[in-house]
Amino acid sequence: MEKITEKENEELSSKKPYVKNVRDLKAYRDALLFCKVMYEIAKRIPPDDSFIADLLKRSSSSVVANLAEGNTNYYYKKEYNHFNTSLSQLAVSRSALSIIRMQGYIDESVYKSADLRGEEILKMIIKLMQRIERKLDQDDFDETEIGNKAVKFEIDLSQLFEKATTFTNLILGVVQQYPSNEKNNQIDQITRASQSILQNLENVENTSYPQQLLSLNTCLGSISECKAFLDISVMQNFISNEQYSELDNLGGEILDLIIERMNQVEQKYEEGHKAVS
Amino acid sequence: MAKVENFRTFDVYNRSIDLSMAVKQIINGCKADLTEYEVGVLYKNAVIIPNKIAAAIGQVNMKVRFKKLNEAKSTVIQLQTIMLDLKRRKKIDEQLWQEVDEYSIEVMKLLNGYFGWISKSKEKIG
Repeated sequence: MEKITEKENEELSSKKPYVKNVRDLKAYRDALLFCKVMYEIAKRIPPDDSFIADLLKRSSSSVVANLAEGNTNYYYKKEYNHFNTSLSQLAVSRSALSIIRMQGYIDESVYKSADLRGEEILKMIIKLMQRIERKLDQDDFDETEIGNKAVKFEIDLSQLFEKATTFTNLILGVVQQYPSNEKNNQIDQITRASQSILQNLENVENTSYPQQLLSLNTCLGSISECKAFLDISVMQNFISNEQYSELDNLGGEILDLIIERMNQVEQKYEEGHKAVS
Repeated sequence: MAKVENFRTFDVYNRSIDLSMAVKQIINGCKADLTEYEVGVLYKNAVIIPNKIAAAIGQVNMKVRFKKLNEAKSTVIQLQTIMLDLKRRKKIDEQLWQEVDEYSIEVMKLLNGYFGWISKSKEKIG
């Protein structure tokens, strides 16, 4: 059985009452547009300098993915850490942008407008992080509530696993049609995120209560990360709208099931706790 | 929350950009004498250094900052070794090598200075 580390334990001590939809977050929508601009700029870079083009695409996608992963999980400290990674990746994108400008692949106006977008996102992420810090300072978390506590039906783990396997297989199928230069970027990242869902679901069985919550919470983050990569993929026309809708809906279904499952785990633990005391 | 610094205001970042541009100049000037692999390695290292520094400064986690700056430092050492080897084999111009070497020494000094500055600030807080 896997043990929870001290760091993880600290992260688990600060629970959010519910998770919001990341697409409602302005920073996320702006990061998606920033990513689109970076992809446009990357197209102007000659194949000789493909390293910096890949770096630009990878880092800007990572900003989006970390915002999604951070927002869709139940622990403030994890959210804070993901937002911090977004900040770091945003700095990489802006630094790569400077190098590209110096090498003359883009003109000053394109550079300034793209950099300004980056700066706006930076400010938004800082505000989000400050908000989390204020929440953490208040130190009065509702430890009992995870989401809508009214568990409607029993969530079977095998049913969840089946849906997650279908989701992963569909993703493995669609990445075949991605351009080959996305191998180290989108293909690699979305494949890893989708496989992480299955790995974490496997960890849920026969583990302790906090470990179960932690694994399910990581699943939530990975699904949201996949959905973020799908947003980028449909924007870049790597996948069709139909494929996007199918995957996005299935991802949403799994997300809801995991939240329900987390509620069940919490409820069972509380009942057991009451019985003992 | 610790202040998120603007990496562009840091000398260590600006010098690393100069280093990156100097390496690019060597690649363009001596392309005929360099193999495709050598060009790739030089270019990759030159781009990685300023990006690692930006990634380190542009966030608030101290552990991540140390890790990324250490990675930048080892990339500078790697670049210095490759450049010295290319100079010995007379594949790159001595004067251009000199310029890159000076920038890389400067970046190393600034990185070490930045490490010292962070450690001192930590001691003060402690």
